Amino acid sequence: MQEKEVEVKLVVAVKQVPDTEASIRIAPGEAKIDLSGVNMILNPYDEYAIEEALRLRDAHGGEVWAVTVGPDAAVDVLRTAIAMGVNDAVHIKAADVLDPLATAMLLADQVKQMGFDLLLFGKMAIDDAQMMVGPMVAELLSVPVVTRVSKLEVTDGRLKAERDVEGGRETLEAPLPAVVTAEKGLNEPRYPSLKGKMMAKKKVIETVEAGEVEVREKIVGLNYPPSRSGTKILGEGVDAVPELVRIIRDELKLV
Amino acid sequence: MAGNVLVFTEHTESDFRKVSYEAVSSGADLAAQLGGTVTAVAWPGAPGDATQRLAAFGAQKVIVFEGGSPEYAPDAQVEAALAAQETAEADVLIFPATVHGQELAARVGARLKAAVGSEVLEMGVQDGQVEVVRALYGGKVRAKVRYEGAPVVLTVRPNTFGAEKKEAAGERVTLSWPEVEEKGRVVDIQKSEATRPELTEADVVVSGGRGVGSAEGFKVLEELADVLGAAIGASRAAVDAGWRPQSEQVGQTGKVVTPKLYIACGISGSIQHWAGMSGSKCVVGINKDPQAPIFSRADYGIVGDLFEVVPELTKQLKEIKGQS
Repeated sequence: MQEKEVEVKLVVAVKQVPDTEASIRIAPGEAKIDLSGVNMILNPYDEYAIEEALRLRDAHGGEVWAVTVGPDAAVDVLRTAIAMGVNDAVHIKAADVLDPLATAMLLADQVKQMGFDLLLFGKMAIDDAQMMVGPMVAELLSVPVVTRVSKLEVTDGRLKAERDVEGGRETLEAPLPAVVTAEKGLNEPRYPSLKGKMMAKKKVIETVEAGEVEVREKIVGLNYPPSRSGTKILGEGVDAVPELVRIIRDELKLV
Repeated sequence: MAGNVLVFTEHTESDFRKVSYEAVSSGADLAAQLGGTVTAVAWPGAPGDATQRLAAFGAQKVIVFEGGSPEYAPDAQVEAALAAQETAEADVLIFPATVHGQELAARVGARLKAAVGSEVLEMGVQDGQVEVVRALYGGKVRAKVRYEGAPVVLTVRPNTFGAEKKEAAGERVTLSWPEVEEKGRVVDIQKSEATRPELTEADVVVSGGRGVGSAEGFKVLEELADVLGAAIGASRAAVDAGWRPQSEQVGQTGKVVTPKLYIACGISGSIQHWAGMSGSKCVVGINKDPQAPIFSRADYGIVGDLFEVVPELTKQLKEIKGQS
């Protein structure tokens, strides 16, 4: 008889972010984003983290938990995670203005209590694009971390992860418990099933109030990026090529 | 705040990565504004004349390590970085926004309980506090962010800051490499064929989208890239279709590139794609569809079949290069 693998406890940290399609408006007269009416989604990179956790659970046995830090409405992304197949979730209720260290400290406290073999993050949240919280949590908990993983194996209490780095591709090994952050390409995330959605709707999600954290980062101004002066159409087909060659040579001085 | 700045570098076998010089140069500017000194850190395995090379871009002091091997040792790097911070009495730490640099910045930031800002576009000082500009929401908005007190950990992306030559003393400071048992280990490194520059560091990017039509279709783009010394990029559509590897995807869920010239071939120019390349100095769109959104945002556009336009462009550029 084949020996059964040791069950694993997987925790996925997720974040609610504005839809990539959404146009982002600055609130008039304030250094604040006006998110009213903006469709909020599960951070796309977190989908890879969830999918990988689900696959590892299905291969090894065990359970997958999702955890998020955010305001009341952020509970929606936990329901999305449950609809995808996550077993259970915890919502750390906090103000919507936190910085990476504050978020990392809240998460580290929570996941330490929960315990985990593998803690997964998306490689970044597409709203503030800090790429900090995952490796910060790992450091706060003194466990190994591999960021931007695009291939992952877990066996015998160890992980083996591959990632693209500048100039090549690395394969790293580390003992569990550990933290990984998921790059696109790690897997193909599943869509929530109808049954999953029904379950997620009914699920009672545990809420914990965030402790006091210091936030040293303050947004003091917001602007739209400088707009370009508009496209100059150089012409149609190959006839336009000499003018482009002139621009590349004389204006950009690239040849 | 004493206003000292500590800049971490990254190197290849032959030289520091360009972003290292940019970080040192911009770090020196920030230190001058804060009234402090700038110290650069060279990891084990850096070029032998590291001190001179980094001094040429403004490093007043250069920390080098005794012992330590050139092998990637992330846990030791964290401890070494903390030792360097203590030695330099640094309030601001700047890391290259590479895969290794970004991970290290986060870990060191956590240990120092630092305020952090990734991939900053500008760095300055307001009312004695560090203030930066960062892109939010995939570049749809830019935020001025102020950090109260110190320490502050920042990362800088290649091609964002200029690497200005400015002679500085480059006083050599030697620290011993920390003895740390690594939690994990590197089991393999596959070097990519270095026939093309790194996508995030390239001066020119030739990028293809749905309009390229197939993996084979990218051949004409590669020929153009060869003559321009460019990196190849791809839109999400081209990557999802399996024509190009994930590592070449440019956009909100891919890489952010900042070349002098970005040539978008057969790319419609969605806002998600734009988020990855809007930092390019000059954007040229080549597309069959005159209504493609790329033609409302690019600097220059050519309406036409990329399989006619691109080879002609390659041919004419080759002729110029042949003459010079």
